Amino acid sequence: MSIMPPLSFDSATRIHESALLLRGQRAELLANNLSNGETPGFKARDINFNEAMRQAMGDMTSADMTSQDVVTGPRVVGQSVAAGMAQTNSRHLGGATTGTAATFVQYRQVAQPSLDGNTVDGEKEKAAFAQNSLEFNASFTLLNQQLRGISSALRGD
Amino acid sequence: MPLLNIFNVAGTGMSAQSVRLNTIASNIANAESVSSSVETTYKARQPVFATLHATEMGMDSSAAGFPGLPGSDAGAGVQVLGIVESQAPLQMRYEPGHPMANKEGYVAYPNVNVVEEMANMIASSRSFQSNAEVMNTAKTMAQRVLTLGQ
Repeated sequence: MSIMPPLSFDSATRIHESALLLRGQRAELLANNLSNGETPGFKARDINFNEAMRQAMGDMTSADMTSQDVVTGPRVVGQSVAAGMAQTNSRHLGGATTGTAATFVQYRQVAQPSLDGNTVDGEKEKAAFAQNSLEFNASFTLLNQQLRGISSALRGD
Repeated sequence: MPLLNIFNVAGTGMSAQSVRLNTIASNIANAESVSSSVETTYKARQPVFATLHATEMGMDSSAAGFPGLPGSDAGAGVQVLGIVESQAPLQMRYEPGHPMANKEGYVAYPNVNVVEEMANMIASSRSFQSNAEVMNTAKTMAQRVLTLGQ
């Protein structure tokens, strides 16, 4: 007989929450690229979305495994994190710090170099921005549905 | 919140482009402003753009964001460092009958290249447009987030 892990808002909504946050940051980065479309020497940047998501999800799997080990008692968050807070009592919450300083921002490969060293391709950035906002909406819809599901489970009607 | 920062980023872009449009308007308006000496003749003006970094804006670099992706990383738009006058040689035209002609009969015409200014105007207005579009999209996204849980 398998024991069902306790329902946690964090593990239930984490994927879409992270995706939503990341989409928001990517939108900011792309907006910055577009506003610097005429700045000499500016290098366009983008987020390596796969890497960033994998990292976020990797954190989740290790945290989930911790929570399944301690089925009874409060869930210990962030035990696997090296730079977490010291827990001298089992009821202490771990500081949910992610100790990684890794950055997923990378420079874009330039297809048509320009004389002033600017690597912004307006059309590419606009396409990426439009796609990003669509994906943002998709993540939002999924997160919203999950929250609605949880709230209807809590209400029981 | 990154979404609201987009308004600032796109805003700096629009403001920089409007400065550029302003100098273009000034250049085209003064394309025929002649003078008898090189010093007093109007010279084409161009804005100098530079990337604005979040730290320059006094933003908190540890602003809440995606883990491993500091808030300051995205940058904070574009700024106009200043407006420089073109160093291109002026056009000295021989027009002895002109009231502004100097002793040798030459009139100094500004170094404004109207064709170049028109091309700049199109580029500038397109850039303004895309920044406005970005702002609009960010507004839609932020409004969408407000309906979370409804």
